[in-house]
Amino acid sequence: MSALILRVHRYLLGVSVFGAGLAMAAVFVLVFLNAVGRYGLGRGITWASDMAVFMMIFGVMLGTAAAYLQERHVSFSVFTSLIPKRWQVWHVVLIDLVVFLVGVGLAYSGWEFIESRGRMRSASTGLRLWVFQSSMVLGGVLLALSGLIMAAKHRWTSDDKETPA
Amino acid sequence: ETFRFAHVDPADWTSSKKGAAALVFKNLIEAETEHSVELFPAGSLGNEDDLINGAIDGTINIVMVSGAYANFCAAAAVTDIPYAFPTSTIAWDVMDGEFGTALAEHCLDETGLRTLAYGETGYRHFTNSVRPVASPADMRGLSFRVQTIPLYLEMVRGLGAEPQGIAWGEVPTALATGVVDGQENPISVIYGNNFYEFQKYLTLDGHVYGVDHILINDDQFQSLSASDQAAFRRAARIAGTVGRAIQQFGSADGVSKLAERGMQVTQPTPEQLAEFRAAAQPAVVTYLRNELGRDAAWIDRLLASVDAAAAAQ
Amino acid sequence: MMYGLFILLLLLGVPFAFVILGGLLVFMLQGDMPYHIRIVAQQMFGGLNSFPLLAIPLFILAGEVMNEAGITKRIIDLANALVGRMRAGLAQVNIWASVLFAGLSGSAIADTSTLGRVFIPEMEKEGYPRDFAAALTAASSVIGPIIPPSIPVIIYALTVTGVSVPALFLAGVIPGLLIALALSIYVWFAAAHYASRERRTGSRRKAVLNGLLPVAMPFAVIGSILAGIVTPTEAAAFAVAYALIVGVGVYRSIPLRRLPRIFSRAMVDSAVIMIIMGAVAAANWLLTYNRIPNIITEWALATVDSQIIFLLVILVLLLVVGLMLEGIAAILVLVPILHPIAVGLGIDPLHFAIVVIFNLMLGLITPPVGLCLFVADSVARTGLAPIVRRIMPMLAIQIMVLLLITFVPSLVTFLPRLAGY
Ligand code: NA
Ligand code: NA
Repeated sequence: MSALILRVHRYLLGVSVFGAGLAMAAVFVLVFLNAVGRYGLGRGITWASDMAVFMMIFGVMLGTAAAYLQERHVSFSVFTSLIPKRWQVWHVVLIDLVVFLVGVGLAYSGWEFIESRGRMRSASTGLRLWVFQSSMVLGGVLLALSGLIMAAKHRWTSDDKETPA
Repeated sequence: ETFRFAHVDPADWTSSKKGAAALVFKNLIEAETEHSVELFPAGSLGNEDDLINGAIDGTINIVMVSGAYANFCAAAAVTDIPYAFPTSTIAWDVMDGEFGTALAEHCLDETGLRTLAYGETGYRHFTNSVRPVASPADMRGLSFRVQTIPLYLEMVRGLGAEPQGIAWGEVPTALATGVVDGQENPISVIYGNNFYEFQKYLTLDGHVYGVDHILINDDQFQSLSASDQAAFRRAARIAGTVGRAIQQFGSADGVSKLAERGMQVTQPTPEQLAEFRAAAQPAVVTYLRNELGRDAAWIDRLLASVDAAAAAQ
Repeated sequence: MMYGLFILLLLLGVPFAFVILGGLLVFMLQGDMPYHIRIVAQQMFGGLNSFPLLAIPLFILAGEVMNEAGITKRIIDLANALVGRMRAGLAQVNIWASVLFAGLSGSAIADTSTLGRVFIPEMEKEGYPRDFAAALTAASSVIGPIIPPSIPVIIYALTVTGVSVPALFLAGVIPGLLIALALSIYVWFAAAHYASRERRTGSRRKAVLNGLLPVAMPFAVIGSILAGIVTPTEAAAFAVAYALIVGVGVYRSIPLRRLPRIFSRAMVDSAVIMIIMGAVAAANWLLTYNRIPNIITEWALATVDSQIIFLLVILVLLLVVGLMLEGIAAILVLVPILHPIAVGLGIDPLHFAIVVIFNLMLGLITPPVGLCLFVADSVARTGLAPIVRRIMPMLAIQIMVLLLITFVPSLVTFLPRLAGY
């Protein structure tokens, strides 16, 4: 059980980290080439700015899941240290499940967003906007999966915490 | 009931056409009906696309928007055909007459938004830092920043110059460093953003006449009493007229201020304007016919209405 | 109801971004017609859909690449050559290395973890207590986001209208140097007795020559932004290219196969900040829609009529907020409300911006939840309590600098005015 959870965790982290890195590279290449084209050759790439922004949004949504899997998000932790030790596992599992629900809600919200706005075109790239708006759905789904797997990880695998019976 | 009225221009009524229109609308509605109006100027509820979306959903009740409406009602793009309206007064007759009414009905079917009245963002003009431009021949070899919209790209190419789509926030930098030779905008924008610091030459070619649409969610409009509906139409028409007046005042005032700041102003002759029109219009019309498909009839309808209005004046 | 959910999730320790999104999603699901579940994704997408925002991941990437390129060591050597022979030499080097590092990085946390790994063991070897070294590293790291480039500054400029990134960058220079100077004077008097061994500083000439390439970079990048030649986003992309050329080409300290991991880390680091920005954008839509910022502004302007009182209230408010909330999140939530009040009272927007940013950055080193304290402790492993005790006088000194720039606005506005902003 524990080995399976860790494997799924690693796989999910790998996918989101890889995607985030790819988006970062795309952002850099697009902004850099557009700037070089503009200042060096006197003509930029018309669609590069918008495409870079859309790639950044994909990167943020993937990176959000990756950061959750690495427990790196900013939270307000003043009172959480007051929670008694034997409840601690359940406390983090509860947070994971809240994040799972937020992910589901975000994916649903993104789906409704695409349903109502996806058919419009982005003027500069000529593509339908759902291509980019899908980043919200993707981010929500990945976040939901991350919440679930982190809940499982916190509940059933023991790194250095004691696992309640 | 409280109605939310949103637009993307500044709130100050003395310099902002939409700001003035919105304020007049609010004052009239609050004086003549039981309803009140809350203003959301300066894009505080989002860009024009967001505002129109909000009006369609009913999260915003009334919006005053310009070019972005064509993203929702494709036929509205025809008013952006370059050199379509020879003068502002002809544009008013066309938009307030049979053509504008028909377009409003068509767009109501497409979007569920009722056009209460039209205003104007006014004519757009070219500026550049290289040489005075009086005819399309002078444009050859120059590069111009435009919005990344195919219609503008086609227009500048048709005039023999090189269009570059650059995001709005980067325009001052692009002009200061000579990444582009020129740009195109209404006078108020050219003056308001100090473009005269980087641009020596202004050509009053008026290539695109920008229309403002005052739109209301039709479900909400239908829920009003008949007398309130009449009051809304009346207030919107006055608001559009005030917006046009502030715009005209600002443009006339702005041209003289730009000249004072050292810009060299060129007014092309009617013959030269005919050359501009002959160079730019066919390329855009061909593009639009393709793009609009079934709605392409609106192109001919507009051009015919303009001819009729011009003949009547 | 929504506020109750917000507070419950916040106290539970749910990450801040998901507290906001969770509250909004529930609210929009239940809300009547104008509200719709779609609006959360729509406004978040709209909030992130902005070209100037690209500067954030690109500057973070530039910082990561430069770090990997081994520029840190050259900066420390350069600082050592410049101030290493002063009283309390290595403590001075720690402070002024942060100043040089600030020109490359926009984040105090990066400064604490990178420089801490070098300085905490080194200072201990020279006789400084380990907790003192950790405290000084954290305290001086606040300089990082004040001196340009700066992520908080970029975010501030995006949050309100009427302040530009270049003007704010310039405005931060003097306050940043003042912090360094004040800390420098403090260690001169308070820390010299720790240094038990004679300092060897090695070849000055070599250190200066080696340091030129990395230090030239901030001057080139910031200079080109200030001169209006490139936008901050483009400058950030050039900074990445420069760092890649130096790291992969000149120093050969970054093997190509390491690049994917660097790119990934930069985007994940950015996502931690930007998901909050997206969530706050969605929340701000709801607040604006209900005219809450206007109502607060009108109320505040009717209640407070003196600049001095307002600034004092802000100082206390932000120090308290900084105790509990991470600085960038606080900028996103509070600045849209505070900025119009400040402008209404006739306070210079640039001055106000730097006061707010400096104030919130102090939150990074203020117990109990200052992030830089945690980072310093994760390197020093002395426990938080001794570091907190050591940092108290340094924090007091920085609050004095904050008061100074609050009541002498020209210290902030002098450089931007000189440049014509
Ligand atoms: Na910095
Ligand atoms: Na330091």
